[in-house]
Order: sequence, then structure tokens, then C-alpha cells
Amino acid sequence: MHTRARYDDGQAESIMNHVREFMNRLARGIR
Amino acid sequence: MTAVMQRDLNATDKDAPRLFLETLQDIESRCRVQGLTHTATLASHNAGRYVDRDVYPSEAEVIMSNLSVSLARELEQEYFVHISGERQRYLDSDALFGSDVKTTFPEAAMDIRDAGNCFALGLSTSAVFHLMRVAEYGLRALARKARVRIKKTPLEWAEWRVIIDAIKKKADAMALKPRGPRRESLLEFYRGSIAEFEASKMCIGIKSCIREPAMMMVRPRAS
Repeated sequence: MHTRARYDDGQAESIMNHVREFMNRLARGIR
Repeated sequence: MTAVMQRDLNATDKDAPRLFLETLQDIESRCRVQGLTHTATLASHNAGRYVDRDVYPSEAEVIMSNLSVSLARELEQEYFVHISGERQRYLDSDALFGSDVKTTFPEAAMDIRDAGNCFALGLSTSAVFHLMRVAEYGLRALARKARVRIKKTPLEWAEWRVIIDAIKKKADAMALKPRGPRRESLLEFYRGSIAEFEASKMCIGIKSCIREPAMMMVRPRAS
């Protein structure tokens, strides 16, 4: 049976930090 | 409501009718915003009665008591979600990722906001879903900046892995050009950005990088 991943608070916060850094890096480079 | 009712305690008797009317109007607007329609209507009705004449203290007491009972009954029908103090900053934030991201990627604003709201409410998996959509906006913007072309596939429909590989290929080709500040700066930008994207992908545990249809944001969101 296929099960989808679930994420806890710590994982979500870590992902958010990476995505925030990624988007800020892009914002600085694309402008 | 207590705050509204107790305001201006130093007011004189002469001010009382005006303050009473303003208090009723204030209660009405606050309750209306919160969807407490019965109490809002009751306040509005009573405010209408005292536009042209002063209220007696005994009348004011009865009206406030009735409003209090109405409000208590309506609040019993509502459910409230507790958000801890430290999570408040994630809630309804217009610039959760900063003003630079907000102005550069206006199309990602709703997903950034939703990611913050989900995280504030403890819906971590839902937050990650929105974060992936945000990252996808970024990845495609990076591909456009690098002028990446995918054979027979519009950029909006290409899989992440294909886009990442194409950007890496562009960066590798750039690395073969003569050294210079512009080349170094662009290389750092492309390689650093891809590394950051892949770091977030590692956290998520996506190995295949096959695009999840549910995460696609090619079409505009319905709401």
C-alpha cells in the first residue's frame, strides 16, 4: 500500500528555513 | 466587551448617553466582524432606539445585561483554536519570508502565507505542501533567469529533476568561460541556489524528484 510521508514540527520548520533561504537567495540574485 | 463597556470611566453624566450609544455601535461592529450576528443585531437595534433620546441608567443596565447573555450564548456555539505565543508570528503574515521575497515573487505570496498559517496551527504536513509550491515558483524563476530550455516541454510542465539538471548544465558551461567577477558571481548564485533547493528537498525526503501533480501550481489557484 502506498503511504504518503507526514512531517513533524521540527521537520517542517527545517524545510521552511531552507525554502526561506532559497527564496531570499533568488530574490537577491534575480532583481 | 468589558473593555468597551468600561471605557471612559471618568466621563461625566452629561457624556453618558453619547458614550452609551458609541458603545452599542462599537459592540455591533466588533460582533459583526466576528460573525456574532445575533448580538450585533441586538446592539444595532438598541442603538437605533437611543439616537434621538437619552437612555435611563436602568434601561442601559438591562440592555447591557441582554447583550451579555446574547454574547455568551453565541460564543458557546463557536470553537476556538489556541496558537502559542511563539507561533503567532507565523499567522497571517504577509511577509513571512521577508520583503525581498514578497516583492520579487508576488505569485508565491498566498502559498507563503498558507504555509505560515498551517505551521502556526500545527499542521506541519500541510505547511510542507505549501512550502513545496513556494520552492517550485523559485525553481522555475531560477530556470528562466538561467534561460533554460527543456526539449519539447514548456518550463511550467517540466519535472524538477529535469530543470535542476538543466540549470546545473548551464552552470557547468559557464564554469568553462574565462574567470571574472561576473562569472564568479553568477556561478555562486546558480550553484548556491540549487544547493539550497536540494537541501530542502533532502529534508522532505523526495528522492525521485518526480513532480507531484497535487503540488503543481501551473494553473491559478481557485481561492
